Parts: sequence; C-alpha cells; structure tokens
Amino acid sequence: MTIKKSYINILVVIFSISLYIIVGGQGCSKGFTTSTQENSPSVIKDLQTNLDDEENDPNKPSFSLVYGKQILDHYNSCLGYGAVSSRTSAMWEEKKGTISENGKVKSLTAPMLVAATSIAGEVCKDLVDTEKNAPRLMLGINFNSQDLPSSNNIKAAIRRLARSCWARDEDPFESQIIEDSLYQTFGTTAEASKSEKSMIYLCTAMLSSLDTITR
Amino acid sequence: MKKLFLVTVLLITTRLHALDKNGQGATRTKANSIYVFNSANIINGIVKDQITSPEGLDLEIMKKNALYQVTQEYLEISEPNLIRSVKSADKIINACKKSNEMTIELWIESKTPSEKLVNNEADNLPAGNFLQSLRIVSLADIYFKELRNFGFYQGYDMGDIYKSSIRTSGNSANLNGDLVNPFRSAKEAFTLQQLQHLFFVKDAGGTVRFYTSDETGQVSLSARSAVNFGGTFANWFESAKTVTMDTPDDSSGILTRTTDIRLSFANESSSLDDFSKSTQGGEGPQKKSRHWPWMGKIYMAAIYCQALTDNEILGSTAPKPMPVPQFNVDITKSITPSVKKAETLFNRLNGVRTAIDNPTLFQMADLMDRGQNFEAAELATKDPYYGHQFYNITVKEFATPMSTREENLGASLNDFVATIIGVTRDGIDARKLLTDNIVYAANSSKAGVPNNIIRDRLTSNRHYEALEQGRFNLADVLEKTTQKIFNGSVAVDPVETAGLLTTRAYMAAHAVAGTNRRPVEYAFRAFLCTPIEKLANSSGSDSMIGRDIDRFPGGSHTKFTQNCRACHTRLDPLRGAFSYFTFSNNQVKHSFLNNRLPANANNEDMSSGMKTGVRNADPALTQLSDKKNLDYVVTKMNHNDHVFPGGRIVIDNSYINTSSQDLWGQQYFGWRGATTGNGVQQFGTMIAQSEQFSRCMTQRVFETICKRQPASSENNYIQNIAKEFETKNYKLDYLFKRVASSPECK
Repeated sequence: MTIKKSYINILVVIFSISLYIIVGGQGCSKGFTTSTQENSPSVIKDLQTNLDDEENDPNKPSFSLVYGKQILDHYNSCLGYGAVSSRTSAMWEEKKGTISENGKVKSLTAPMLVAATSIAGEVCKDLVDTEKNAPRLMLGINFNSQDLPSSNNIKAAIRRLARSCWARDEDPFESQIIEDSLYQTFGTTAEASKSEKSMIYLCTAMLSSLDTITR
Repeated sequence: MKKLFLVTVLLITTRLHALDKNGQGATRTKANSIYVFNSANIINGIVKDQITSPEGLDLEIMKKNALYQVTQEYLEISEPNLIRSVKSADKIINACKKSNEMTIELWIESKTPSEKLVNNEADNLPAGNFLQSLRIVSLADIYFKELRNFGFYQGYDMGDIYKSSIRTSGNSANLNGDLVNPFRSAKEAFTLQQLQHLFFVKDAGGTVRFYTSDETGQVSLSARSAVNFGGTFANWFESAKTVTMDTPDDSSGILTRTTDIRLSFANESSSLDDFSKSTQGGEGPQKKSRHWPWMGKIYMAAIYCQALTDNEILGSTAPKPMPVPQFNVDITKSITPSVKKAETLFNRLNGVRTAIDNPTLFQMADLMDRGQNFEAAELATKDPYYGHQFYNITVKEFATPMSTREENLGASLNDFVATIIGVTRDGIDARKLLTDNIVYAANSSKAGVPNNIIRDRLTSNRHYEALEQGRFNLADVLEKTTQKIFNGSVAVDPVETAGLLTTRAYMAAHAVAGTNRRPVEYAFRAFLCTPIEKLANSSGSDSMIGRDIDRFPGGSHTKFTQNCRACHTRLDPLRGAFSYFTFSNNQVKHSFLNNRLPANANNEDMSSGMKTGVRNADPALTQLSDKKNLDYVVTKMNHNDHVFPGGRIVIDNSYINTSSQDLWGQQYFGWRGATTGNGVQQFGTMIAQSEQFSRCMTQRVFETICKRQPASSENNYIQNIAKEFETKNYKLDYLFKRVASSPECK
C-alpha cells in the first residue's frame, strides 16, 4: 500500500469515527436525538439543546461551531505547535469554503466534517513533525517505530490532546474507542512509519470531533 | 554624521527585498539562475547566467535584427523577440522537481497593453475573440508549446493582469495540453510603463503568493491562493524524451520529436517558427500560433527552486509570526469547575481554544472564585499568546456581518470591519463609529500589503483583502486615519463623513444602484437591530414617499396601503440624508466632489449616477421653493418620476425621522437629540445617540460572545448593560468583557 493510499484509508476511517462519535455520542451519552445523561462530558447533549431550541433558553448553555476562516487558528491555538506549514495552509484554503460560514450549529453537515477532518489531518501532521524534535503532547513515542506505541503512551497522548483541544480530560469510553480503532485500523503487522501514522490518526480523530470544533 | 550615514544605510537596506536590479541581495545564494539584462552582462546577444554552479544556463537574444536596446540598466524589447536559453534548462527542471517549489523574481516594465498584442489562437472563434497571454518568462519545449512546465505572463481580464500557470500533478491540462487553472492577479497589480518588482512564489504545499511593488517601490503581498497548484512537479517535462504529437499548425499531422525544454523570456520557447504570423489576432480557424511576444524593459530575472518566504520578500513588513504557546500539560492535574468556566470565558472572548493547562486560565479561575469575573475577562484579552485574537477573531466576527448585505461571516475584511476593530482596540467612543471622519487601515511600515489610497482602498478592497490573505495581526498593524474620496483625479478630503456609514464597504453594499433607501434600512438594521418589518408603520403618511413608488400597483390603491406604504413612510423621509452619495465604478461618489452634468439635464444617465433625476420640463420644478441644492441630488433619488409624478421630490440632503413622531417609535428607539437634519453626519449622530443604539450594540455583542440571541426575559439585562456601556463612554472593549463575564452568558 502506498503512503498516499494509506492516508486516504486513514481519513476514511477517521471520518467514520467522527460520524460515529457525533451520532453515537462518543459512547458516553446516548444518541444524538435521545441524549438524557446529565453527566455526559461531551457536547452532544448541549448540541441537542441548541438544535432543538427555536426559542433561546437562557438557562441552557449555548455554543456555536467554528467557521471556515477561524478553524485553522482554532486548531493551531489549542495544540500550540507554532507555525503552520504551507501544506496545511493550502489545505485550509481549499477546504475552508466547505466549513460553516456562520458557525451556527444547524449549519453542521457531513461535508463540513469531511473538510474539518482533512484540515485536522494536515494540522496533526505538522504537530507530529514538531513532536519528533520537541515532544510535548506525545511523550515517549518512537515515531520511527514500525509498531504501534504502547497502550500507556497512547492513553497519555489522548489525555494531553484532550486537555489541549477538548479543554477537559477524556472519558474512559472515549479513550477506549480511539485506542480500539487504532488497533483495528493499523493491525498487528509491522509497517513502515506505523507509529507516526497512528499518532496522526489519533490526533485527527480528536481534532475533528465536535468537542474541538464547537466553541 | 556617522550616525546619519548608518541610519540612512539602515533605511535603504530595510527597503531592499530579495534581489536588486543588479541581481545582488540576500537571496542570491538561493537562486538557481540570475540574469541581469544590461550592457555589462549581455555580450554579443548572450545574457550570462550569474549562477554558474553546478552550471550556467545562458540566454540568447534570438532575433538580433529586431528592434531592441541594451543600456547600462536594462534590455528594452521594442519589437517581438525571443530570449531563450542556449541549451535545455535541465538544471532548473531537476532542482525544482526535487523541491516542488519555485519562485520567479522579476524587475520589469511592461510597455504594451496586451489588447494590442493579442493573438487569436481559438480554433472555433472569430479572430480577435480570444486573447492569448504574452509570455514574460516560460519553461517549455522549443517545438511543442503544449510541453510547458510553467509560464508567467502578461494576461488580460477586462484589463491587463499578471497571470501564471504551473504544471503540477494537481493541475491538469486541457485537451490541447495547455495548462488550466492559471493564477490571475488583480488588475490593480499590473502597471503599464512603470518599473515593477515582482515575485511569483509556489510552495510545496501548493500555496501561491504573488507580490508586486507600487509606484514608490514598496513591495507588498498582492495575492495568496491555494486553489490552483496542489501536487508536485513530478509531471514536469524533461528534455531528450521522445514525444509524438499533432504539429502546431496541423500541416504535417502527427510528428515525433525529441523534447528540448528551454527557459525563455519575452516569448514562447517554440515561437521562432511562427514569427511570420500576425500578433493582431488575424489568424483564421485551425491555425495555431506559438507567437505571443511580450515587450518592455527587463532589468533582472531570477529563478529559484525554492519558495522564498514572506520575510525574505517583505522584510520588516512581513506578517509577524504569532506567539507560540508551549504549555506543559500535566495529565494528573484535576480540572476544577472554576478552571472549566474560565476556559469557556477565555474561549468566548478570544475566539480560539487554549489548552486547559494555560496558566492564564488558573489565574482567571482564582479571580472568578472571588467574584471578579470582569477582571478575569480582562486577563483573558491580555493573554500574551491569545490576547490579539480578541480583535482578530471576536471583534471581527462582531463587525463582519454588519458590513455586507448578506450579513455573513465569510465576507472579506474591509474598511468597515477594520474600523470597528481599531475603535475597539483604541478604546474610542463607539458613537464616533457613526459620526466621525474616521477609518482604519494598515500602517505601511508594519504590513506589506498594497497601500495606494486610490487604487487599493478607494476604488478596490485590495488593501484589506491582502491583510486578511496574509494573515496579518490586525490588532498590531491597523492605524487610525481619515476618510478620503476619489474625485476622478486625486484622493481629496470628503465633504461629509459619518464613520462606518461612509466607508467604502457600507456604500458598496447599500448605495450601489438602487434608490438610496437601503443605506437607511441597513443603518436601522445594523446599528439599531431593527429590521424594516419592525420599523414599518402601516398607518404612516404617504406624503414623503418618492415619485418612483406606484400608489396604485396593479391598479389597486389598497395594495399600496397594505404592502408598500408601511416601509416607504419610514424610509423615504430619511433617505434624503444620502442624497449626495452613490457608489459606482467601484468607488464612493459624492456629488460635490465627483463630476456632475449640468443642472436639470433631461437625459438621465444612471451610469454617471451623479446628476439630478428631475427633468427641465417637469412642471413640479416650478412649485419647488428651494432648488439650490437640487443639482447635487443624485439621479437615483428622483428617477422613475413618471410612476407617480405627485410624489415627493428630493431636493437636498435633508431628512425627517418619522419614527420620532409616534409613541412607539419614541419609546422603542429612545431618540435623544435632533430627529431632523441634513446629511449623513447628522443622520449618524441621530442613530448613535439613541438609546436603541446602545441596546443594539449590547445585543450584538451578546450574540457574538454568548452564541445565542438574548431571550425576551433578558430584556432588562440588555437594557442594564446598555446603560453601563453608556456610562463607560461607549467603549466596545468594555462591553465585550462585561457581557462575557455576566452569568447570563453561560
């Protein structure tokens, strides 16, 4: 499999996960339309509130989506990795038109999620390139390895990314979903750049989730 | 004296970007080929390549009998010619294929408009209908023009432009093998018969940047685009490969040849065979040409297989990199509800998310625990890493929807939005946004963007678009200045200004064509949060309604009273404030400053937009008591006079606010001060002094920050905050922090 094909496959899986996370509520709240759990850490319940409310209810939290012009700053800010590569910049220029133009929750569409995932993928590639030299969010990862990082290192990376871009600690179920999908996608066979690709995958899945793209 | 010398040297050196006209400069070591087209470097028609490692790629002037001149400074091409590398340009092809990046740097002066030198290449179009771009520099085969790796041209798009095509794996060719999806500059970027320093840059990510110098020599970012050239140079043509293609003029059918890719200036590499063909578009169908001569002066050209950076090109006026936060994430540290609340406040004010481990959040949480929410908000907007985003994102988000008719966030940065950002940053009374002679633009020493006041700010939005495309830090580069108006020759001081109401963006959105009712409608909509449906008064008088409104639409007066009168009874008496303004030919026009035709001309000409719509023979003229300013009223205010000749004629810029005459209007808007007056400045003052202005600004800030509209049960809250806003001298930055830190903004 070429590297390009591999990345495409990864993006497809990530998008599927993103949809699953949205529709399924990241495993920690019920579905999009039936969420009732009071203690859900995710934004799903609140999103439901925003979608349902024709009237503005001052007693409920409100939020909006990031919009096209803002999404790159949004990603870059939460990860804090510095300069945006020309590749990422080009992807943002290409896809920003597909991202919500007004940030309204009702403007959320599947193509928007695909676009957000594409931009997130490039941002995460930049992040991994930075982490190779100065690890801060992905500590203890050998990016040259042909195997997946250890479970502990994966969990720690998920925690650091969650604290950075979800502004909270991840739920154990969320961590499990991401970790399971890593194993499912990358399998057990050694493969060139597997560790690096898995970290890009992990980061992209988290950045394209609603917790990151809402504000 | 020594100090003065050093300062002078410093000033000169800070203005130099990349290479000078002699090929000297900081980026010389990065170039793959440098050509200096002067008498010292052109010997016997050969232009020496100054970069001889690994090898030189000299050029040859191919038409030695054509009219050209070599001076100590430049080569002037006065008749069609071709300056082509003496051998295959392998060193450029190989280097660029490795890097997938390139930069073309030129010092040139184009001499001839492309209209005069077009060549009709179209197979199926009549002669003259298809304009071919003139080749300034290209890398292509010496026989098959389709085998082209890149070209930089003088093109045409309703005026001369710069244009470029690059072959990449992401940029396909059309059926003729020609490159599609070219980059096109704005017309304003091209200047005829003026020396220009140009940079065309394509980076490995596929982003294209284009820089031009203006009449002062200052180089600025002209455009940034990522839509055209994704992919790599893997599909670039190389020399010494066998190809089989149609012959260029179809005379010999299919032909097999060995490729020979050369670097060429002033024409297509393959043009030699076609010099006999006309350049005036006279070719018949099926006759293809490769002869697209560019003419002018060329001083220096450099080809790099690297993408020069903003810094290398713009020097001190390049976009400054935003500060990079490097927070250590402590995965064991618990996230308290206070820190989470602080993060929400931070996110809402600065428009971006920060890591929960940002120390500012913990300081904010401490303040919030002590009930000091406003102070916490202040801390957020002063965060060393993200504070500028409060202006770049949040205030911009607040301002942008007000600046266009569509009211969307996707609109380009413009003078309207920049002015709100500047006023907020500088703590200026927000009422001045509607009353003062004020506008914000980039300081040219801080931002390398097009900054010619007429070309880039008064007749186009280039200045602001480049600021946005270059991702400049608006909080840093914007500075306050005064408004100007272009009178057709120069930029002059305006006769009347009203802050945002007389910005180019507002006038472009609302005063273009139409009847100048929309500037009134949107003033109420944007600054008083009152859509026309709410403003309408179905019981109002029709005595102030214009002559262009039919009182019997479809033969029914009832239809008029039910559907038309309610809005027009409000708008028409007010629109007089804009009587002397219009927007046409991409610029704001004021009838005191822009050309008018003689008074009461019978011939209405909407394209001029600057003369009265009242005819000499109009019997209503004799009944007008005061006609001294009628000549200044723009045509559209009184046009379509035949629809209802008994309607009101606008004779000057006076206005009456009829909503101050009924109880609802008085209570709802809370008018304070005069509700009649003359001109936009007084109109703006009336709007800004109303109680509803403060409430509307509060409501808009609430919607921006809190991500919802205030509920009807929150009316008192909005009113109270609006009053606070007034006591704080209408400072918008206070309003943002006050709203964000209130418990209503969950």
